[in-house]
Amino acid sequence: MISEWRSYAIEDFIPFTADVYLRLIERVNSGQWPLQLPMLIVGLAVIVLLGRKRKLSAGALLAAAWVWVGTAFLIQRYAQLTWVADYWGWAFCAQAIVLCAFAFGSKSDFRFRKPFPISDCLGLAIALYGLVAYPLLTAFAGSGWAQSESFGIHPDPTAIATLGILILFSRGWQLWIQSLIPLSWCVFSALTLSVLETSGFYILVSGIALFLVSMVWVSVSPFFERAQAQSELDSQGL
Amino acid sequence: MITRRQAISRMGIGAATLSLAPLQVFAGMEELRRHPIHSTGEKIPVIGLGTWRTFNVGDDEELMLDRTKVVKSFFDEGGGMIDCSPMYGSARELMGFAFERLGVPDTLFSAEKVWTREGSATREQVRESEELWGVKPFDLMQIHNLVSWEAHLETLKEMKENGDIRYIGLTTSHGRRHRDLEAIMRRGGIDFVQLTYNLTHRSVEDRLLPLAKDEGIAIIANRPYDGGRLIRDLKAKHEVPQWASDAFDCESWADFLLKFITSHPAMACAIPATTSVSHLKENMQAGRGSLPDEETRQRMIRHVESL
Repeated sequence: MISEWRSYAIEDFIPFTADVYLRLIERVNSGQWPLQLPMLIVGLAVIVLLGRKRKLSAGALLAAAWVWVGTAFLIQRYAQLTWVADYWGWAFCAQAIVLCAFAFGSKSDFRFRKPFPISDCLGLAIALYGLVAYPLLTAFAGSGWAQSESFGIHPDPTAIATLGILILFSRGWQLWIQSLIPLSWCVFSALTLSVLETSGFYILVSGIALFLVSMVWVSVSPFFERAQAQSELDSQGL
Repeated sequence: MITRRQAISRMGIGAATLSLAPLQVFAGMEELRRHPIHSTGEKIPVIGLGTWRTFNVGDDEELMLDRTKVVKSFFDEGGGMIDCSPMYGSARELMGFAFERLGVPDTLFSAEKVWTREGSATREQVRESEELWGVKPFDLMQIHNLVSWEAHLETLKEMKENGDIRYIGLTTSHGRRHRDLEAIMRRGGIDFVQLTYNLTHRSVEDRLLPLAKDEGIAIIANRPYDGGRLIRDLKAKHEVPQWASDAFDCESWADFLLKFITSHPAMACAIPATTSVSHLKENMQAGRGSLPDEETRQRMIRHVESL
């Protein structure tokens, strides 16, 4: 049985070719144009609203983007090519509930601090990578604007931008739980793109790598900060 | 009852049907080699058409028309077997789309699969596939990857007796479940077995292919290019060796790889999949001309292993 499982490769689970996937991106773009622009504003608004302590509004907007991508892209379109997309579509809707629940229940009181700590810089960088850089990079790497991928329209930039936003305003176990679905999607999608051998693979993996570095940083930096504070207290003889 | 296939082919419905007159248009073209289905002696062209990955295009009409050109070219070249499965996403819908535009050619040898764990759903899934293809009855109905094979096989045997299908087959791929497959082949009542066989995956040569010959079972080779990797790598890095061209009609890597498969005495046909008309034509060419003899086959193995 083990040897039988070893005979499977990732490609055995990807039942379509690269041209079909790129056409899917293209068709969703043309079908939803000009929604890409309001969605970009929604993404930027989420960051601004969080900076102004309006967690509920920010959470609701972000959740709406996840529901839209889950239904309009994954369930209605992508699921025609692979049944797994149907489940992912529901996972995206579940993520919307998770985001709303944490926005409603979270006690964290995020605000932008000056000077920007490294973790905030990383979070903002990832969020802007998903919101602004992603459409540009996928347009340049693919066949122009028709195949560019945008936040709130396509799942990859939506997940990456969300991971950046989570690095900005969430910490500890809450960060891990809220990151679970977006990160799992990114890994799934990266595996798909690696089989299809599209340039989008490198763009997505860069986003994932940036997020993982940030996760490590936000996990270990409090220990360093505490140790530094302790040593300062010690040096003052307190 | 007249079937849709018969009706279309008798009436010559649709302008597109006229453009599907391959034997008239390409009268000078050498016919494809045909190998027998041992259980009846009926002969089928040695190069078929696979649809895994390549024909799953959703409802994208541009791509559906694109793949329809591949189907048309397949029949223009004298092709017969098209192999599909409920597992292949929208591939079955695409077959229906293509045949609506092209008409159902008389030369079609329709090969579908049953792919459901529900042993009682055999007839329902066959009916669903018939509706999607617009073809009835299927020539060959296979049990995909031996899923719930006992229940499906019983029903398929009844269906064959009633004339609801013409042949019964089993499929595996990637060298999986060969022991189970061997045991089922020994029980009898199977016309076809589909398995993975190519120049780099030859484990079936030891037991399954000789057994198929003994039991009178026709073999369909899937993954002849190992999912595309094999021919892609060879084309990118190597020239077709001159000795192969001297030994048999071998002008391309498609000839080299496909003729290795179809020259095995147990082989009925190979089913390469493609999205490209030019690749399709290259594949079909491998169904024409001379085949390598056993000595040359061994040299072909050594050559590919040395690369």
